[in-house]
Amino acid sequence: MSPLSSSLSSRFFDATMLQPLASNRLLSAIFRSSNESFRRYFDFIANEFEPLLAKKRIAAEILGIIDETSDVRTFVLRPSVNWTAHLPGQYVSVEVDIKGVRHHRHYSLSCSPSEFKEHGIISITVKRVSGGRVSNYLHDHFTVGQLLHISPPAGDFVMDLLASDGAASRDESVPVMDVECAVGSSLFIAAGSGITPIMSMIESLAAASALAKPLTLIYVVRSSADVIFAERLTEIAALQSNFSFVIHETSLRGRLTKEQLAQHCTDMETRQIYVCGPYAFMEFISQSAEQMGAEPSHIKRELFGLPRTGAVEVAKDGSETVEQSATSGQVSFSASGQVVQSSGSKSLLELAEDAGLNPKYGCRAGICHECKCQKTSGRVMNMMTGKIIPDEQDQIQACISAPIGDLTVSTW
Amino acid sequence: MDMKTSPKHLLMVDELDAFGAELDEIRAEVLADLGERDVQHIRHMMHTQTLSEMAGRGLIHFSLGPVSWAAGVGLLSVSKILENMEIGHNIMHGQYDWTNDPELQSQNYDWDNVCTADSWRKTHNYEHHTYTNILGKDRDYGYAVLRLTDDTPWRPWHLVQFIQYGMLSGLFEWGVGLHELEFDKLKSGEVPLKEKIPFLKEFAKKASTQLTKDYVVFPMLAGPFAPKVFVGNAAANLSRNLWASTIIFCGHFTEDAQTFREDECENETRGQWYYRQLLGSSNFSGGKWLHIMSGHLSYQIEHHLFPDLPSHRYPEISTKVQAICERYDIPYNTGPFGKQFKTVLKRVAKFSLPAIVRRGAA
Ligand code: FES
Repeated sequence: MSPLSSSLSSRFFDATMLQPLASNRLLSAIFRSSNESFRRYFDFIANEFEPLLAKKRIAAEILGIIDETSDVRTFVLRPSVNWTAHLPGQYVSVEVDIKGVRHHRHYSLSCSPSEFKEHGIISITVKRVSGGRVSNYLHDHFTVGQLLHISPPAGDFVMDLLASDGAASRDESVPVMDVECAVGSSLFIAAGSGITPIMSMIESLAAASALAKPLTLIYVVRSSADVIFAERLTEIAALQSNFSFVIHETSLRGRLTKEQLAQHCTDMETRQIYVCGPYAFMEFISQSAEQMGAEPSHIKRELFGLPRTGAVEVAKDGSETVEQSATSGQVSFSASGQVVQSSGSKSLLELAEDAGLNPKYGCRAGICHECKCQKTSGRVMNMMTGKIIPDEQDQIQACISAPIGDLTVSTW
Repeated sequence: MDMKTSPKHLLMVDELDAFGAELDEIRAEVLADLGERDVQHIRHMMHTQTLSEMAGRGLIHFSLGPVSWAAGVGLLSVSKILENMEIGHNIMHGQYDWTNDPELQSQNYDWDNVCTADSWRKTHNYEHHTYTNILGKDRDYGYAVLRLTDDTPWRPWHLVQFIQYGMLSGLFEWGVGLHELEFDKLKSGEVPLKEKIPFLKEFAKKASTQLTKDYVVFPMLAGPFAPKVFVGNAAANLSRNLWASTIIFCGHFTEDAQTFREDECENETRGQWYYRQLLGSSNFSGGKWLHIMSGHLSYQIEHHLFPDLPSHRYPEISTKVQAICERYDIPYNTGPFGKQFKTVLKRVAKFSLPAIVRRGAA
C-alpha cells in the first residue's frame, strides 16, 4: 500500500467512521430511522381506515354546504385531530388536486373559534371567481362527506386586544374566549367576499352576553343579492344593541365616498379599524380614515380578491406564449436579499449568478432538475419551449426559466 | 458527430435536427397530457410498496417456520425494489415535480438506500444522464472497476473482473452510495480527501440511519428472535442490490450499447444529444410487472431520452420512438431480458482480455 493511501485510510477513519459510532450518534440514528418508519406506517394505516387520524396533513370532512348567495358557498368542515383553534380573522390554505396538479388557495375562516371548541367544526366561505380554477372546482366538485386538506390557521389579520392599561397590543396569551372583554370600539369595513375574516371576528365578539364597546360594520356590495351572511348579521344586530351595520350597494349609490364613510362612523379617531377587500379599496379607506383622525397604527388590512402581485394578471391557461417585449423586470432573491434587473433573455440561473449568488446546478440544459428553486411570486417562461410555466407550479428549473416581469424566488 | 463504434448509418446534421424535433414533439405531447392518471400510477405504486413492506416485515417478525420467513423476505425485497426502482428513482428524476405535491418532489424525496438523495441526484441525474456513455465523463460506465471497452487500458486484474462484478452487484447500494467519493481520483491524488469530507459526513449520517433501521431497530423489536429479523433484512437488501445492479447493467452494458469520446460530444445539439442517448442505451422486453420492478428501466432508451417524464408512459412512448428510429435507420437495441443479460455477461468476459489476446485467439 502506498504511503498516500495509508494516510488516506487513517484520516478517513478519524474523520468520519468513528464519530457515528459514539453512543449519542447511534441513539440519534436509531431515533431517525424508527421515527421515519413508524410515522410512515402510522399514516398509511390511518389513511386506509380513518383519514381524520392521519398526522402529516390536516384533513377536513365536509359536513355541510350552505348556499349564501348565487355564487358564494360556505363549507362546514370537521377538521382532523391535529387541528388547533384559530384566531378570528385568520385563514387556511386549502389544497385541491385538479388534473393531478395540487393547487393552494387561501380562504378565511368565517366562523368563531368557539364553534370548533364546542362542536368540533369550522367553516370557510368561498366565492366563485370568474375564471378561477380553485373556487369553481370547490363549488362544482365537492359534496358533503368528501375530504379536503387544509393547512393550520395562519395570518396576522387578527384583532388587537386592549391590554389592562388600555394600549392596544396583540397578546397571544389572552384566551380567545375572552376576546370580547379585551377589544376596544371597532369599525369593520368589508368589500364583497372580504366579509369572511371579519365575520369570524364579529361572531367571536357576538358570543359575549352583552358587548361593552360599540361595533360598526360597513359592508360594501354590488347589490343586495350579493350580501353574504345577511340573516346572521340582522340576528346579531337584534341581540346586541352595541352592534350596528350598514350595507352600501354600489349599484344603487355608486362607490363609497369619503363623506358617506364619515356619516357611517363619526368617531373614527377612537376606533380600531379592520378593512378587508381589494387593494385600491383598502388604500382609499385607509387614507380617508386617516384624514378623519384615525390613528394609522389602528388600521389593519387584509388583501382580498387579487392575485399575489399587482403586475401579474389572473391565471390563464398555461399554454400561451409570450412576446419578447414587456418581459423585463426585477428579480428578487429573498433568502439573500439580492435584487437584479432582468431583460427577459437571461435564465434565472444566470441572473442568480450575476447577483453574486452561488446557486446549485448540474447540466444547465433542463435534464437533471438540480437547479430547482422555489418561486414565490411572478411568472416565468420555459426557454426550451417558449411556453409560460403555469402559475401554480412554484418549483421551477432555473437553468431553463426566464422571468417575465417581476419575480421573487425564495431559494437563494 | 462521427461515432467510433459506428452505427449502421451516419446521420447528417440536418437529419439530426429533424430527428431531434420529432423527439421534442413526443415530449411536448406527453407533457400536455400529464394529469390524474400519472398521479394515480405513482400513488398506487407507493401504496403497494408500503403494503408489501409492512406485510414483509410482519411475516419475518412473526414467522413460525422457514416458509413464512422466506415469504416475508420475498415481500420485503419486493418492497425495497419497488421503492428504489419505480418510486424513488423516478420521483428523484423530477418525473412528478409538476404535481406540486411535496411528497412527490425530486428535491424532497429520500429513498430507502444508503446513497443520499443529494449525492444520487448529482452523480446519476446530472453526471450520468448528461454525459451518458462518454468515456472519462460518465463515471457510471463500468463504475471505475470494470473494463467494458478496449478504450479502457487493460490491467492484469481485469482477468478476474467477474469477481469484482459479483462484489459490485452484491454491494450495489454501497457502491452507488460511495460513488461520489471518486476513490480512483483520491488514490491518484487528483482530488484531495479534504474536498470529500462534507460528502462523507452526509453519507455517514444516511448510512447509519439505514443500518440502524434494518439491523438494530427492527431486530430489537423481535427480542430473542432478533437474529432471524437481522438475517431476513440482510437477505432483502442483498436481493434488492443484485436486482438493481442487473437491471442497470442491462441498460448500458449490453453487447451493442455504444460508447463515445469526449471530443465527439463537444457542442452537441439537442438532436445529437438524443442520438447519443439512443445509441448508448438498451431495452429489454417482458411483462407488465417486470417493467414495474425494473422501475421501467427496461425502457432505458426512453428513460434516457426523457428522464423526467413519468416512467409508466415509456411503453406508449416506445412505440413512437421505434417508428422514428426505423425511419432514420437508427438501431434500437432491445430483446428479451434473459438474452440482453447474457450479452452483458459476454461483454464482461470479452473485455477481461486485452484486444491483442482476443484477436490472437480468434
Ligand atoms: S441544471 Fe440541470 S436541469 Fe437545470
